[in-house]
Amino acid sequence: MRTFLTRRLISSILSLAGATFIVFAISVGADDPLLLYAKPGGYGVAPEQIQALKEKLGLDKPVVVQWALWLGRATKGDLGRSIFDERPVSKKIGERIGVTLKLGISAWIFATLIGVPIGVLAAVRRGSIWDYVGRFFALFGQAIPNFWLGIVLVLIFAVRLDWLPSSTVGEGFYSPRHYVLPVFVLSISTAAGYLRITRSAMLDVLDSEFVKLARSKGVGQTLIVWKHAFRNALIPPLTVSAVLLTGFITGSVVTETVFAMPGIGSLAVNSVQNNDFPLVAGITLMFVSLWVVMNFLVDLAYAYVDPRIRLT
Amino acid sequence: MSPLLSRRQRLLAGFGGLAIALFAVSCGGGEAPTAVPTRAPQPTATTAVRPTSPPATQPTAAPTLAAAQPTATPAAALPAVPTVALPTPAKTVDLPTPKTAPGTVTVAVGDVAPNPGINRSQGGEGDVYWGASESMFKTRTGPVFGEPWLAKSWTVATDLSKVTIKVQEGVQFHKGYGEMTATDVAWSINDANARTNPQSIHAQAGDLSPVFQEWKAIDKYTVDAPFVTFDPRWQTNGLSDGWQPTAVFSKKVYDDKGADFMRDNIIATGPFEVREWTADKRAILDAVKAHWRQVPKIQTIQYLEIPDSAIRLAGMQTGEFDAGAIELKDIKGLAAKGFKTTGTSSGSEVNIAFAGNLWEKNHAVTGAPLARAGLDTSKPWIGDPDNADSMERARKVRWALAMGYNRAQLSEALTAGLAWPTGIGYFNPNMPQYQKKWDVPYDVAAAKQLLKDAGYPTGFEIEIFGQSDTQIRAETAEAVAGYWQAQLGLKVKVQSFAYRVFRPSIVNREAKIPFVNSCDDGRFPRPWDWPVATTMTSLTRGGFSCAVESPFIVQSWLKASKESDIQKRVEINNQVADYMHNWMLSPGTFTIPVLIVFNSKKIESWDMRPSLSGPITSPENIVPAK
Repeated sequence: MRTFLTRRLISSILSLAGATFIVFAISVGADDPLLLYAKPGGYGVAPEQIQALKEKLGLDKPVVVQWALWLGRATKGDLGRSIFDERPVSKKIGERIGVTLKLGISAWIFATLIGVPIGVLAAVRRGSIWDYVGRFFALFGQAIPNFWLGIVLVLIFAVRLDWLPSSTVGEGFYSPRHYVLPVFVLSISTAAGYLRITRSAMLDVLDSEFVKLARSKGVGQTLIVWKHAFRNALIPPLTVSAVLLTGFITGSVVTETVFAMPGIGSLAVNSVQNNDFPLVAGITLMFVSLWVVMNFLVDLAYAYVDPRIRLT
Repeated sequence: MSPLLSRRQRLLAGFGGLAIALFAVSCGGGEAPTAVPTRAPQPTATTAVRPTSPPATQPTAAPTLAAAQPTATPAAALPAVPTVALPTPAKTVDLPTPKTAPGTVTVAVGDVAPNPGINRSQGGEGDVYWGASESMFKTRTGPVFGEPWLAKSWTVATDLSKVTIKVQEGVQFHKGYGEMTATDVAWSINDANARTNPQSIHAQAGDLSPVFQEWKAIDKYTVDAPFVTFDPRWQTNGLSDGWQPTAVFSKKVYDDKGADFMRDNIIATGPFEVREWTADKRAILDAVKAHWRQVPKIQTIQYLEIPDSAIRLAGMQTGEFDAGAIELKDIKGLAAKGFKTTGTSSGSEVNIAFAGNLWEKNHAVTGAPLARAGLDTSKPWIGDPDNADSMERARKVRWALAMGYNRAQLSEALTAGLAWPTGIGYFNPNMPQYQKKWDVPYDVAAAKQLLKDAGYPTGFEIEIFGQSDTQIRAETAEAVAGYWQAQLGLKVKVQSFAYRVFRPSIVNREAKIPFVNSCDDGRFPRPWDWPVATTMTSLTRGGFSCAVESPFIVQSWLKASKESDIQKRVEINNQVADYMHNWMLSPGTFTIPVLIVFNSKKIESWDMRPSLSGPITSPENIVPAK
């Protein structure tokens, strides 16, 4: 187990370093960040100003050196400053992560609460109307474009019915009314995914020998489904749930844009459009760290559940 | 392969690499025809074009920039935005009841930009427009474009070497930071000016630099501003709320609290003081109860960033927003329900720049040889300045393309007719100085004949860029491409992605495809006498451009910039208009009026000061509904 953990830890650190270097090199190499200062309406930027800015930003050094210096500072908690407004990157991320976490976690919980039970129902009532409804939901949820669904829901529930606000996060720590529509939009696709995985796993388990044995012994349907089958079928959805949660946090940009929720997704998009490389690198570090940590936890969970993984 | 495409590919490759890395981690888009030019090499008069000489092909000498004549403060008439008939609501006004708190006005905007309270960090533009800070000069409806604001009076030296400015007395900074003095003014402008602060990244750092040297306070209320080069626009370009202003902040705050505090806190002199300014989210500003100039009639104004135009429209219909930046095509619908409109009496031109026509060989000021990667004369619309035949062929192609789309129909389809058709860029048909000879007709037959004359009887392949992050430009590119394809038989590919991605190719003069833009000077009602088309010259090397550079334009610009007589500047610019029309370097499509829609159940009236660049101004003029 220790060897397994050591290998995964080293792999995670290398992944973090590699991903940040790739993004850092692309940000600096694909375009000159100093062009950010060449504003419409201007006379351009004087060579002296270019040189002063290069020295200030460290752009006069090779990319590898820039990255190494950045990484060194990052390990001390200093992610540098945004080129655009010169505010600390960590502060900018800190201001935005809250909204994304609230949105992501809410959507994750909602998707789980919807997808898993319907998946179980579809499997247990295989071939019934419930199964067809579940499968339609799965198809609909995964095929429908988020941005379209978001706007249609706003037209229905905000403009026509006037039940919910059209956008923004509202006031206070968590305004449930403001999160209803974005959470539904963000989670619909994942709920559909949960449904399919759960249904498939349940069908496998329900066809297994030990369930047949339980039935032959006269064990009741409820007990078979919820005690014997469900617990075993829960392993696949549980193992992907950590990855799905990470996906909610790193991939909510469309939902954030439609519902005007100032989260980390829109910050990431703006930073890329501005070629604000310190901010791009900082966000990437955060995203990759999240993926690494969550996958590390998933690996641990696998190893715990299935001892054979520790040996390979 | 164009540099542009390779950049996209590099980006895509980069994201692909990132995706691989993440994978590794997770796994282990008319007008009556007139005649057209037909004869080479001299431009002909069939389009009422005044013939001009082909552009100079020899390197230009470095001009003498110092002016010797005294000048008067330029004054320019401001025409009104054309009135467009909006629907009259039925007797029963179908307006939503505002859901916002009494005394608070909520405005939905597309972007709440970062706005630090220090000029070196790009501060001071948005917060001037939105009422938090003030600039030296302001605009008002009337004949004068620049008039006193924080500046009380001024005197320009007879030798044009400097301007001495008296600042207002008794102006207080927000939150008890004391009276504004000449020291604050000098420090604020110097902080923004790239000449005096090379590390400044203020949006006007590069505009102030060639005009002003270091400002110096000579007593408590007087500041000396020496010119590097006198520019007739000195009051407006960077110092006025009419055109990309620079705000005045407190030097005391900087001295006591430091730059980081100022980046997070806007301590200025406007009629509203900032309670919260969170980029990409919202800005909340409270009225200053004892403002030196005007006490607002509302208590609070908040600007919410609502990126999606459909959601802004929805929020207006639900009463969540009291005012909003609404797509033009949706305004008539709202007007029919009783919503009202206001605006900064301005308009933004949607022009098409024929990038790649880089005809200057040496920098107009330094004389240095110019890199011209975009000068790809294999492109039909790009002329070789060393070859008169090539220049004429390309000119015919550009004229064909300019006559190949219906401006009035475009306006109707994309803006519900609220925008007004525009023939050529920078020379707006609604300016009083405009001459009918500069119109550009929609004439498909003539356009096809020109293509045939130019050697392209079966057309050619062409790309056009319409930035995906500005909806009207993206839609215009798609629509114009449609005309070119359907009417002229061209094979057109629309490039649509974020402006930030395209910009390096125009800054570096690598772009060689037509692109949709206002090219900075495409603003209504830009005074006719101002030196024009800067971004079509080598003067903006190192910065934004239209990826077009013309020796004629740059020489005209330099001539106008040191001409003290307004009428002579107007005449110079009339010649530029002739030139632009003849060579068709930047045909127009239409000019979109800058309008804000408001709910009259919450706002009785909102008179905005005119501004060429700010879509929202003067929140202190909001009169709440009773």
